[in-house]
Parts: sequence; C-alpha cells; structure tokens
Amino acid sequence: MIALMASALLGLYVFAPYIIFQRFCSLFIRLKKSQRSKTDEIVQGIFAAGLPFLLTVVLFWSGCIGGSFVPFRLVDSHRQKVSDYHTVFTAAFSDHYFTDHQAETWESLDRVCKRQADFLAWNYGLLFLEALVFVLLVSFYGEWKGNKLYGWFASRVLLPAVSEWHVLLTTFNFPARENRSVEVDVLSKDNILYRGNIVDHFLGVNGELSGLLLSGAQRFQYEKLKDDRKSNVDKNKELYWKPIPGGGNFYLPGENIASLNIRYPLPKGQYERILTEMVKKLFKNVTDVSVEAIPPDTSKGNDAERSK
Amino acid sequence: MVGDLEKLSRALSDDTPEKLAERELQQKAEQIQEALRRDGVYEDASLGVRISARVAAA
Repeated sequence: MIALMASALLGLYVFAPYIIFQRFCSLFIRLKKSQRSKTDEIVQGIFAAGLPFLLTVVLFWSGCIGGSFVPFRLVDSHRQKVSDYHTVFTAAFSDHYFTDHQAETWESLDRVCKRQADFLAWNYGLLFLEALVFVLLVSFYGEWKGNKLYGWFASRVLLPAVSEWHVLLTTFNFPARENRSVEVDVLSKDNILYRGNIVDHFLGVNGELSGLLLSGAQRFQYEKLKDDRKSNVDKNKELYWKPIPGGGNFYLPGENIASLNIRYPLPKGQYERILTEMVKKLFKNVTDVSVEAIPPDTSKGNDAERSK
Repeated sequence: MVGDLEKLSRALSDDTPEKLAERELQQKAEQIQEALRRDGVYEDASLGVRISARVAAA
C-alpha cells in the first residue's frame, strides 16, 4: 500500500508535471531530448516540477490561497488535517489498523484526497504559468540576448533545455523584426547537393535530426558541370541548379543527410540597405551611395540555359 | 561559464551575411575607395552587390 501511495505521489508531483511542462513547451519550441546527461535531466525535472510546487506550498502556508479559491473547500481545523493524514498513513502501514478503523479511514482519505486535489489544482495551474513564461522567455532570445541579466539566465536555464537543431534550423537566434529566413545547402550521403528554404525540421526519439522539409528546393547538377568542364564550357554555376519538380515541399530524411550549410538571409532589399549604411559609415567622403544586388557570376551563361 | 549552445548562438550571430559583408568591406576599403573614385562603381561578386557612389574631391 505504501509503495502504491509513494508511486502515486511521485507520479502526480514529479513525473506528471515534468511531462506536462515538456509537452506544452514542445508545442512552441524544440526541447532537448535524451542527449542530456542524467544530471541535467534531474536538474531540469526539479526545476520544471519543483518551482510551481514550492510556490504552491508557500502560497498555501501563507494563506494567500485557500477558502473559496480552491475546488474542494473544506472547513476544518489544522488539528483535523493532521489527524486525517495520520489516519491515512497509519492505515497504509497497518492492515490491522485499517480493518479496525475502516469508516474513519475512508472519511479521512476522502478529505485528504480533496486537500491534495486543491493543492494539485494550483500546482498544475502554476506549472502552466511557468511553462508559458519559459516559452515566452525562450521565444524572445533573439531580441533580448544582449541584455546582461537575461543573457546570464538564458545561458544557465533556457539554452540548456533547447535543442541545438532549434537554434540551427530556425530563426531563434535573431530578432523577429529582422524577418530572416533559413536557407540551407544539404549534401546528401549519395553525393547530391540540394538547397532550399527550411520549412520545418523533425527530431527523432534521441533528439537526432530525422528529417528536413524544404520549400523551393533545387538540386545541383554536378554531372552536368563535370561534362561541361571536360568540354571546356565555363558557365555560371547558378545555371546548374535545377528546381525539383512539383513546386511543393521537399522532404529529406535525416539518415540521408551528410552535411548542412545554413544561412540566415535578410529579406530582399534589407541587406542592400544595411550595406548602404555601412558604406556611408566607412567612407565619410562619399555621397549618393546606392547598393544593388547582382546575381553571382553574371558574366557567364544566361537564364534561358537554366531551364535546359 | 559559457554553454555550448551559447557559443553556437554567438557563432551564428557573427556569421550573418551582413556581418561577413562588413568584414569584407573593411578589408577591401582601399580597393573600394579607389574604384569609386575612378569609376563611381564597385562590383563585388562574393558579396553579390554593386556599390555606386560619388567621392567628394579632397
């Protein structure tokens, strides 16, 4: 009976809150999975479940919550409370006591369950609040990482819980106002080079990258380049990129990815605007500065060849 | 203590196209200045930009 009660308490107060916290946060952020060490897991578990628990204990003891702010309002004394827990624990230890005091034990157990439900209602409510604050703090990492206090907290509490794939494959690291996208060149294990914009990424049970979803995916025609080199044809490298037919999203399984080259470009025009300001700052004696984008290596080949 | 992800985050922030461009512009400052003075245009394929400007007489 004791083992059963201990398991129930451990489940309700430690494991369930930790799982709820993880699941809720995972709706918005990719958290680290089991790549963490056991010590990290325990520290994260204590942090996730412990903080709302302690806060609930303090709020109950200080009398800030109770009365009509709980689902099962019980009008009883502190003495009654102690007596109920004493009865329940004694009955759990001794079958003999339980047989002799069945009615009293069930009444006490009913009140104990109601008090626990009151406590858990607040505990879980505060847990959701904690998860929400965690998600907000992580979401604003790009904006606030320059702040010393936030940076200190982020490096010790927030970042250790976030998957490195979330940092690499999303715009997590940059302020939302910059509207960056995530572009990637992917070399597959069968030596095909792809590029595209990352739409989504998927993680396996151990936190490994299980797949990438790309939009506007293109494949580099390396064989064609080799043939052209043999025939001494020197074309613009951009012309060897061929859009993958279908126009939809392109899924690359993680097991087929050999390496990734990731970029976080700014929206069209913004890069040029930033460069214009840089040039003005760098060269004080220049006026009428304008910076425009040029496609790389435009001197060779033409767009018509791209579709061949 | 700096964690691994913090190091990664710093590396990503230092490796953006505009940060790379800034370093490139600083390195090639003399060359750019000269091209702007001579032709009014400097084109850089690695940065993917064409810079046009007028250089005021010294």
